[in-house]
Amino acid sequence: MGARTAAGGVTKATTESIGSKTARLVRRIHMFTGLFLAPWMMMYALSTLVMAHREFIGSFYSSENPALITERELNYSRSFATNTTREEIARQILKDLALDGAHSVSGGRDGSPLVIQRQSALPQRRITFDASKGRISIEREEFRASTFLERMHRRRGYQHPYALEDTWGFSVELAVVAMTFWSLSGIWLAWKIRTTRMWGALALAVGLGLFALFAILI
Amino acid sequence: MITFDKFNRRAHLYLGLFLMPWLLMYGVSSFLVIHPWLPTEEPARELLFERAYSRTVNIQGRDNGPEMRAAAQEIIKDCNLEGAFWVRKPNPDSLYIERFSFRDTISLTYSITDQRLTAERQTLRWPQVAVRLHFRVGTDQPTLGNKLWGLLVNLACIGIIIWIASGLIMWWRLPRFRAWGAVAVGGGIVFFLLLVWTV
Repeated sequence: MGARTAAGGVTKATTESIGSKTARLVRRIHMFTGLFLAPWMMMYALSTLVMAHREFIGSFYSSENPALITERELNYSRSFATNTTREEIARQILKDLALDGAHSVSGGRDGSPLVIQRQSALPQRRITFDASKGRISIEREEFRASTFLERMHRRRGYQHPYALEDTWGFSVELAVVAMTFWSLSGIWLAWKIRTTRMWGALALAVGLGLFALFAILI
Repeated sequence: MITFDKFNRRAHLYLGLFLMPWLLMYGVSSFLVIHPWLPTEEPARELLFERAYSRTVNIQGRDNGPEMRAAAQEIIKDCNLEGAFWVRKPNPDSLYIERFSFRDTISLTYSITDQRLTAERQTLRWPQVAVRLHFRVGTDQPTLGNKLWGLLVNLACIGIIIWIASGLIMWWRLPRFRAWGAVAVGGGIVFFLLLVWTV
């Protein structure tokens, strides 16, 4: 009987030890990922506030969109075969200007100038190529904090054939996985603290209740 | 008396538990937004009604602008469908209203020339519910429920900022993690700035 109790005690102690080791590991991951991803979370929190109050934020600025400032104008003599697509032309122009990176293309048909929006967190540029004049103009968007935050929020990577874009996409994915992990590990860690269990359960229940109520009602 | 450290820890914990559904929702829905290849195809539309309807409406101005919204609100009220909506003018003859909730979308198409009103419902699938929860901020919609949802979204954002601040304080108060924590914080900031500067 005594031996059986001793064996049971050892099993319980081992289980507790594994449990507390796991809890410690989860706490560490929770903390270190939180510290590392703090800039991403700060950006997402601020940008969501900016987007939710777009009109109010916009009232601080004199124009709806940031102004474009002409950075430089230059002659561009490269000629392109008639069957070259505008995407190929845009890519070549960006390479020639040492501005290769994520971009979108418009215009460039029926003699209209080709417009390349060179997407960038800072600063966004518009490159206009007028083939009839052999001229390129590069305009830089004036920095505006709200535009920058909104752009970063919407940027998810993976849509362009550039490794840096994919790296940003990966970092966003890391933040997304971390958010899910913080939510679930937070509940588990809170449950482990006996003194806060009751109030913690209440906070969680109120949060869940409100969320469900809104999801159903509105 | 409660110490600052204890207050900070409790604020991090309780705020985290209260706002957990929002954080979890943003995490899951962001994944769906990042990966559009995930199954989010349009659900089937079910015809609710198609009937004769006559109302003089002002459809001037831009899509979802104040004039058009006022016209749409009158139609929505006539159908007993008050709530959040968007409105646009797909052609000069008709008004398209999207009355949406987290569960479904009811599209109302009013043909001004034919004086006919058609209503169709799309019941959302779970991935679409998650994406809609992600994008809805509420402050731009008319009802009290929407305004309160907007308030909770704001609270979730402020909550995230408080978590960051309280998390940093908690880490700093643990001397044995200061060095590795500094590596994590510094690494995160440098990596983030590097990406912002280069992408």
